[in-house]
Amino acid sequence: MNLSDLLARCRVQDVKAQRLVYERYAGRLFRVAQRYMKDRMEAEDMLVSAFQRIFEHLKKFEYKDEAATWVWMKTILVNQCLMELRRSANFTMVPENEAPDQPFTYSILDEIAAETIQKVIMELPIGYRTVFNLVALEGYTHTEVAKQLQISEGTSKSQLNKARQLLQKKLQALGYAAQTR
Amino acid sequence: MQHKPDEQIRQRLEDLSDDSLDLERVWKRIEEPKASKKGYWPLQVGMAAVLGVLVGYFIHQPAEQPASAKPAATLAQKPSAVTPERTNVIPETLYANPPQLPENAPLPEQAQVTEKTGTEIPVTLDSLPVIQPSPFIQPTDVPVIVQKNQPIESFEATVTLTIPEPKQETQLRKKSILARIFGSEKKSDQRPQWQEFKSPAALGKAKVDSLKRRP
Repeated sequence: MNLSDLLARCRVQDVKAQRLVYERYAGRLFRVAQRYMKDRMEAEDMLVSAFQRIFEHLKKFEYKDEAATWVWMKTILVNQCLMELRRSANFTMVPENEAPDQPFTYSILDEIAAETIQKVIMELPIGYRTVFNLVALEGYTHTEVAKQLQISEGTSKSQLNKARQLLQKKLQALGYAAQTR
Repeated sequence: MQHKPDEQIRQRLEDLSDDSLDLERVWKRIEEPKASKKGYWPLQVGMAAVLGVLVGYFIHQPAEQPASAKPAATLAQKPSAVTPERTNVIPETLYANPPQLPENAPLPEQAQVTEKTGTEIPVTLDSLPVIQPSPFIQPTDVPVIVQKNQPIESFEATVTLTIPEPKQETQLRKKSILARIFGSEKKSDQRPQWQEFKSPAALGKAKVDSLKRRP
């Protein structure tokens, strides 16, 4: 059964179809949630609430292709995570007069195993990690991040710089040579 | 400066397999939204508070039973109460069957003491309000009840009526009013008269039209 048919059955509250959609996307979404949240339990909570929202708002969703569906689901999950982070974390703690924005390449990460990258990202402080996830990995602009997290653009840039510096330090500590272009 | 997201790294991170996720347990949580939803405790507290208020409201409401509702238990019908009429005569029906007290009924403790000593123990109830004479209200004489057929006694009374004398209004004359308004003496008009005005040319302030002087 293709995804379009599955989603159509989910719209009429077909539990079996919902279960199939869940099994198809749960693992990947859980990984995304883990990058944002503090621990596994919080990530699991976000996954649960995200799937509840996905099934709730599926009536409004128009199916285009699988990639768009994945992006839609991931956006719901990320929004759930950001809502929780806004509620619990403080993003305005870091001063903004930090190092200027420097060009940075992520090619260094190509040589590193995905598990190691995930581990290092999850070791970052919550503010750094959130902005790094949103800007560096998801491709949000600083303006969008500032709006989402209710912080200033300067704070968003500062958090990203600090995240990158800390990431490089951690990779150096692991024996990987930091490369900046 | 914006950074382009590294699609490859993101893809690698998302494609990581995670066997530690208990799919069955998480699915059960998704199926039971009420049990698994976090952050809904304020709603539950609010619901409980509203419920408490409603229960309290209905408990303290006076019992109002609709007319159509059947009573849970029926009471024996009481004899209708006799409402005394507005006369001094006490209806005989009240004395028809005077209540008989049992002779050997045990007396209360206070009554037994009274019976033995022959004196009454003053009983004061603090809860009852004690009427104290107010120092600000003078007591009035108690009216004497006079029978209708009693002859009328003559009495003397002195009534003093004070009738104010009518004031004599002095009618002001128009002349005096006008004099008060405009003053008693007629002042001379200080304003300049038209005859005193001089033309600007005579004063040397007017412009002289040179064109007109040309021949």
